Amino acid sequence: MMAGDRDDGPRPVVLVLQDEPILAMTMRDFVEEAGCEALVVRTAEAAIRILEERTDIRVVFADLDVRGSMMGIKLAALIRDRWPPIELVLTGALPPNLDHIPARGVFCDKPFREAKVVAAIREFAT
Amino acid sequence: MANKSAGWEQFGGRGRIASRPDVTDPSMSPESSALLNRALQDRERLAVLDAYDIMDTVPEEGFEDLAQLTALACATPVALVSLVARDRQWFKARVGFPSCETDLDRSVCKFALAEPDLLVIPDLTADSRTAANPLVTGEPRIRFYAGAPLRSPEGHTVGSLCVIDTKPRPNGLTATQAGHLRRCARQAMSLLELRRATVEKAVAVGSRDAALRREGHLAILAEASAALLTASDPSRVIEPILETSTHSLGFEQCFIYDLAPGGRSVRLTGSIGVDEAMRAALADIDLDKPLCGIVVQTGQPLVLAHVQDGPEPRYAMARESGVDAYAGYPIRSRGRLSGVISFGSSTQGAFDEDTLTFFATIARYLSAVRERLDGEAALRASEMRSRLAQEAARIGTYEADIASGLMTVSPEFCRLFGLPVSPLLSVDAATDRIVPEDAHLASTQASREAGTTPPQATYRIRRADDGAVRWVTRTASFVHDSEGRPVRMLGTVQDVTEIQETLRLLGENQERLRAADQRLQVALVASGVVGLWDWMVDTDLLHGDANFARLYGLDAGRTEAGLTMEQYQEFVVPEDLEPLRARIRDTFEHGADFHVEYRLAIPGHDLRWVECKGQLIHDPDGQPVRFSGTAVDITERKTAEARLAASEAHWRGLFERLSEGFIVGEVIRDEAGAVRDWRYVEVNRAWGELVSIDPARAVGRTIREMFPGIEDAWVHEFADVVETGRPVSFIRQVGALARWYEGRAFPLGSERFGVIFLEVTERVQADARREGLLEFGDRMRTDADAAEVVKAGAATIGRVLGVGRVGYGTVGPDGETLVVGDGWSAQGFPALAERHRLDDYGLYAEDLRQGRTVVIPDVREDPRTKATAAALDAVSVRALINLPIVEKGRMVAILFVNDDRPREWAGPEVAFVRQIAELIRQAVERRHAEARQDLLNHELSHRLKNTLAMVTSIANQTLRSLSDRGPVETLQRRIQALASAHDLLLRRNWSPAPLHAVCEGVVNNAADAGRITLDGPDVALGPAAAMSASLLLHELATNAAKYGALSNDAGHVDLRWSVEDGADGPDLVMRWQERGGPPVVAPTSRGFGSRLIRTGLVGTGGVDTAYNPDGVVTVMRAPMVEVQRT
Repeated sequence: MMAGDRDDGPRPVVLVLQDEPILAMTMRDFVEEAGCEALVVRTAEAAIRILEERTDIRVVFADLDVRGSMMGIKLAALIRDRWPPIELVLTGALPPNLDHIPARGVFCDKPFREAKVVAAIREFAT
Repeated sequence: MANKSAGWEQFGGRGRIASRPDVTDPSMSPESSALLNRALQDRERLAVLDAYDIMDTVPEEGFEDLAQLTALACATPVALVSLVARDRQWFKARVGFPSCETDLDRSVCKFALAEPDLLVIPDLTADSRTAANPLVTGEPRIRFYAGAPLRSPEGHTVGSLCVIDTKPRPNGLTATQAGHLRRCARQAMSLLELRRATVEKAVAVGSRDAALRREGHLAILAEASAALLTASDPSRVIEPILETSTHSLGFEQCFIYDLAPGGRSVRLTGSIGVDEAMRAALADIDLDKPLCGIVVQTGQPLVLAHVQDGPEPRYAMARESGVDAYAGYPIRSRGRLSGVISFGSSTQGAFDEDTLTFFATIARYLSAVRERLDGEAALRASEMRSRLAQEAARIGTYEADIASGLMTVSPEFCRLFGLPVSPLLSVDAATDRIVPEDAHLASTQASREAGTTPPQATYRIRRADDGAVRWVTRTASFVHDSEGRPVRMLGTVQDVTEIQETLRLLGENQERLRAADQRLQVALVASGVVGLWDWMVDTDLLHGDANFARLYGLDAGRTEAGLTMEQYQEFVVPEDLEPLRARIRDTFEHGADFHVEYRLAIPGHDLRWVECKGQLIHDPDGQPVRFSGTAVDITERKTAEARLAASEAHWRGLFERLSEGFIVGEVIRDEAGAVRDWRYVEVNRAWGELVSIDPARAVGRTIREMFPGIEDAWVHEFADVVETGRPVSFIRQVGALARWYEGRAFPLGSERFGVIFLEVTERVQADARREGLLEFGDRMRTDADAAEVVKAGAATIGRVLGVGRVGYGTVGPDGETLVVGDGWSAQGFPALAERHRLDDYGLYAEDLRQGRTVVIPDVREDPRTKATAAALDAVSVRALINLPIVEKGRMVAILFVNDDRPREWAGPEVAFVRQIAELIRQAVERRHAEARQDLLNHELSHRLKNTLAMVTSIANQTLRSLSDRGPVETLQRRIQALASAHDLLLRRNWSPAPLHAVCEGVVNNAADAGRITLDGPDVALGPAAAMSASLLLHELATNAAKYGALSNDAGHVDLRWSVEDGADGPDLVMRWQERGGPPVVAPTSRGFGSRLIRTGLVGTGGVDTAYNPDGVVTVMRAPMVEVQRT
């Protein structure tokens, strides 16, 4: 059950934020498994640039542990403010304070449980 | 423990061997030896040990029980609660060890000081530190040692709880035993802490007792002062005042003696706590017997302690009466010793300094009372004597002390009775001279005591020297005490033989006239006190009679012939001459009455006072022709008056000499009658010292004038004393002086009150500091946050010292920038900016960098801040304490105390700031260490989980080509189970995790809530067991989901656990029971999962699985000790 369900039309685009290549590979696999197209960036700044340029991003799948000037939860809050329709799937080594996760955000613990992650992306993207 | 060998006893008999405080152990490296030495000698550690006040105390059940329990738990013959002091270790409790202490050479416990946890030495002969220990090489040949440190909350190790065996134990203690040893050590520490709290409380209670006693002293001094100032006979007042207070004052007996006339015995006149028999025995007692006799003989106070213990024969009487502590003081009046007041206690061995001061003051009071009474009596007596002298002729005078029967007599008295001239006679010596026929007319002891002796009696006496019979008229008057009892009889005796002869010759009618006339004549002539003078204006000569001549020491013939005024005035003392002349002028020029007193300085005689009265006699034309009158010798009256004045001065001087401050005040009312202020009527010298003001400035001014802005209570409370007439005690501060006073105010009638007080600033401040430290200690233990601890510490200092601002700032690595955090400031005191450069405020920054505390009473005076006083003033700093906090040789923070007024910082205040600073430093350091540890754990966990995520990712990518995803997912889940156990442990900082939470973590990953029921008691798992239990349960859940009760929609799992007795102590038993699943088929192959399950909870097996038809049952069992191993 690959993306074949919706052969016609472009697949939803999921922006993946991950600076660790191996984890990025796995996250890309999850996105594709969910029938979406993955766009991987390594920094929060790059993610914001993409979000400012492109309008077809439906979901951001971000690792809160990515180091950078704007880390994790702050980026999530910014996205919720500037691009309210975009859905958030978040992951990280340590569960953040649940009160800080923006509305409609989903947090998936590490190590990943593939089924849970894929289901969350699929639900938001379609 | 009965395992005592002869060797133990032998050792016990030797006692302690002289110690060497300096431990140099040849078996240790120089570094570790030095380290140990420093730990042993650490002053803070020793101070903490001191604070427990436990060394050399009697055995206590709590500690004994702990030692017994520990020996039992560790199965050793010996267990000791050992406290390690500077030069020895002492055992608060011991089992199986005969000696109560050893020197440090024999101590193994000292090595426990440096250990973070248990010190276990399996074989003492094999350890370099102990192989040469005399207790190892010789009897009792100890071989095994295990000790848990006794660590105070401040982190100082004061000793250890240890167990010792005579056989080596290669495996040390079991985990259970180690756990017991630790727990018992913690328990011992709690007992010690409890003890310290009790000691601190006892100190506080002790100081309160002393305060109460001091307050008692003040109250009594106040009452006694009131008595002196207001009562007519204060001596009667003092006795009941003392009586009600013996207990609070610390004595049981008080004796007040009078010295008997003659000075060879004393008479008890007042007493407290003395029984009838004793009072009778002391009614009149020889000076050689009672202790007070020594006071009489030496004229000095006598203070004795532990009289009962001494052999001194002179103290025999006191010893027999049970007195152990004694203090006796002379009572003086008119320059000589007149009595003794003494205090005794049989319950205490010695009086303390405070009490002795109090006794001395009471004795001074009594002296003042006696002085005043004697002065008044002397005046009364002398007036009466003069009067009598003027009434009688050829008179002898007497003054008899009724109680003793002794009398003071004039020389004339003696001559009249034909007795040798002596100032002191017994009454009997005179009455014995009365002829038997007239004996019934003599006064008797009874009539004297009752005051019923007739005022006049005439009888015959036989003169002692020549045996002649003479007629004598005796007069008598009485001097009464305040209760109306006669104490002295005084009067005159006069030889009236000639008058009697005349009477006999003359008829009765004429007799009275003549007698009266003659008596007057005789009186005038013979009394020798009244002189007549007559100044003839025309001749300008003054004629005097014989008495007048005697008064002036002149020849009677010359005065009779007449001398000029100037010739008489030659004897008048120069200062009195002008007033005398002025009076004479007044009389001549204005006709004023002539009445003058002046002194005569006659060569060869004492200064003589003369009272002169006279009048001008005019001729029919109104011209003065004569100026005549009387002159009386009033020297005796004047002397008495002077004595009384001196006694008044003495009595006032008493207040002057008091070390307590003394005030007489008078309230000032507004129009509505409410007291608004009060005026100083009188203050003593001590008052001036206690408030640092010249006493002369106070009298006549009001307290509000003297201390503008003074607390209203200083007016209201004394107003209440005046309104209610009741005394009050107070302890209050004069804020403007920053000094505390304790005192007693008492009413003095009308609008006046008296105050007697002491300064107690030091005591009040010391109390406040101690309470501040205790309170801050509590806050320190409860406040989690370093910033809160700093704030609490700053507030404690601020409140206790009453300063403007207290803060704590961190110093940057440059040693120059100061970043100030939250501190404390008094209301209205300006806050401080956050960042400062230290050098902006003066040269003292360098002292701080060198680690020296900077204490500046006035920044304008101190050479380090003179130049920068303006910068300091800008931040409201006039006085300061800056205390550098140094870590690893570098100043990392400053605790600062500021005030906007100059202020002398007392040594104890600086010490107090230092103590709080040290506590803050420790607390902050501990909180920072904890925070660093948290951060480290967090980071570690973060990385671990990221790594696990990468491992699964790699596995995923690696196995991507496999078409069967099952094994891949299994791998992922196993890794997730590991990660979730890890999460749980991290959250609890790797301390034991509750079994329930471990199960929950696994179950939530594996199945819907509700399909697995968890039930069991609270059991904590050590980290290793938590990890393996998580994996094991994960496999059980996975199997159940694949093949068992969780593979359909109806099945259910019960997971229950309990603690049961096992072969080697308690076991944890967990039971996994499936129900309602598909029919059970035993698996044929053995995969990783089933092998994992068989390894059991702690990797040692103990797992039974039964493939019952209705569901799989797995029972896992493991010893609790292993499960809980940390």
